[in-house]
Amino acid sequence: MTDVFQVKEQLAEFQDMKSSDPKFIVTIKSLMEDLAQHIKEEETHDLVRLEEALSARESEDLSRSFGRTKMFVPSRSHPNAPNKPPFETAIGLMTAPIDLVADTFRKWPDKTVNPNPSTK
Amino acid sequence: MSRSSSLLWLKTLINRQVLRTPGNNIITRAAGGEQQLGGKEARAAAKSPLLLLRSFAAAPRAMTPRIIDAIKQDHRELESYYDKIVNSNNPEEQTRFQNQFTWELARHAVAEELIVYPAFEKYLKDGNAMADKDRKEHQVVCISPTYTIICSDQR
Repeated sequence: MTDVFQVKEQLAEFQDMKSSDPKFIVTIKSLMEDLAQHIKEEETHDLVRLEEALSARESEDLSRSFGRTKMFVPSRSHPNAPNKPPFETAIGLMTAPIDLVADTFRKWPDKTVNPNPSTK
Repeated sequence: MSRSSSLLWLKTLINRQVLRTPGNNIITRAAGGEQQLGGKEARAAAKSPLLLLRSFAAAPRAMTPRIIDAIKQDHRELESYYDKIVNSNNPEEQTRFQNQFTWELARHAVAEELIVYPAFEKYLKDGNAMADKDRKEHQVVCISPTYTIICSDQR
């Protein structure tokens, strides 16, 4: 499992950058390098092993919890928030409303697959 | 905060998110499965988000993907937002997809920490080592006797 903390930290830096910033593309590229590694390890190893251990029902329950959790967690990166339940749950509930209010003032893609947490 | 008032607060939060839908697309992903609401249902849901919540509960099990597929789908979306950012020469479009990317990745990362890593710990023999690796290296969480949460970055 690659370093998710590092990804979160890079995201915290990237999320507040202006797209005109000369470091904008460099930053997202560096973030994506780490993220791609994490994605590859998860998809080829960690999750494959997890699925081997899970029944269909258990896997679906997990995916349902995953989808629901995404509805109420913060929508911006807060790398210094604790990263393990139950602490992150509590911190998440505190920061999520602030992120969500700020989200309403951000620009989104037109044909957005959309920043409504209920879609994911 | 009492239990009922915090519950109400959470419901309000969820409702607000349901309503905050740029482009007026009402798409729900109930319990991991995606559904596009039909016209009648969407109009009803726009009037009362509670109806939408009810349609979550009624979502058929068959629409729920396995966890590996749910996560893969997120990964493909992140990659597509990344492609938009790096391949665009339009600063405004880049900003839009920067926000979209951030929104998706921030939530994905935290939901993994809350739901998927504990599953590694629960179901896989060496899962604990696997799930704790990143966390341990970088962060320590402790609670003082007064329940003040103290986090320290130990890198």
